[in-house]
Amino acid sequence: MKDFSEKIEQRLYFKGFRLPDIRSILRIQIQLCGIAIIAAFITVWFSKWPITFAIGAVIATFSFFSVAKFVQQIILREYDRSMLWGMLFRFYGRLLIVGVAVAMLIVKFHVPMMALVSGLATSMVTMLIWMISRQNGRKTKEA
Amino acid sequence: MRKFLMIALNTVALISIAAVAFAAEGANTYGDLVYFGAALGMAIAAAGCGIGQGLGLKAACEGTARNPEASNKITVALILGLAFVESLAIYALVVNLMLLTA
Repeated sequence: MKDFSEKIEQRLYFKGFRLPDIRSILRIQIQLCGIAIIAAFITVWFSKWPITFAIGAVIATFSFFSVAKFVQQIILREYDRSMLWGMLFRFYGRLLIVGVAVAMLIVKFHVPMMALVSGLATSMVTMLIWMISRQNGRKTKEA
Repeated sequence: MRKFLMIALNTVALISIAAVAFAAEGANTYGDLVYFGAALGMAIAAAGCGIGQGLGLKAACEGTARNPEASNKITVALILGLAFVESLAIYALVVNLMLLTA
């Protein structure tokens, strides 16, 4: 499990996530999303709930990943005009994709709302887990 | 005269509202008000999230300009804040779409 976490963090580093805190938050979010997807594939025959939850988790992960990448690019990179246009285009493209995906899920596929909202709320759970692990890390260092 | 005018106007207003209410009966319970409510809800959510994200970004830019060494910590806090605020906008979108499809 530790190797797997390190591999994810390595991949994130090569993707341009230079800040270790952001990498660890994203790693937790990706792991949660992976668990949700596996659970959804196992229980897909029983109800629509798990697959909707997994889709919500995927949307939350995609959204968080894009925001983190966007802000890091703004702060850490040198500006040039073409890069700025590309970043803006990607940012609004991502917003459009998330909006259209949520609209399609609710209007066309009539997915269970609570499952979708719970899936989207995985980002909050990620923050909570990260904060708790950080507190524990600090306590261990102090001890 | 003024009293009479007020009573007359109130009566007209009440009758017109009652007519709308009776017309809506049997069809969609809330009629076009649902669309209005969804649009207004999304507009308020977008405005609130925009103000929140703008304030966060402003504070982060100021903090980084004043103390460039703290930029890494400020960036982490900024990303977390933006993600939180944006998730609120997505929740508002979900609720408004629920209103539209209900």
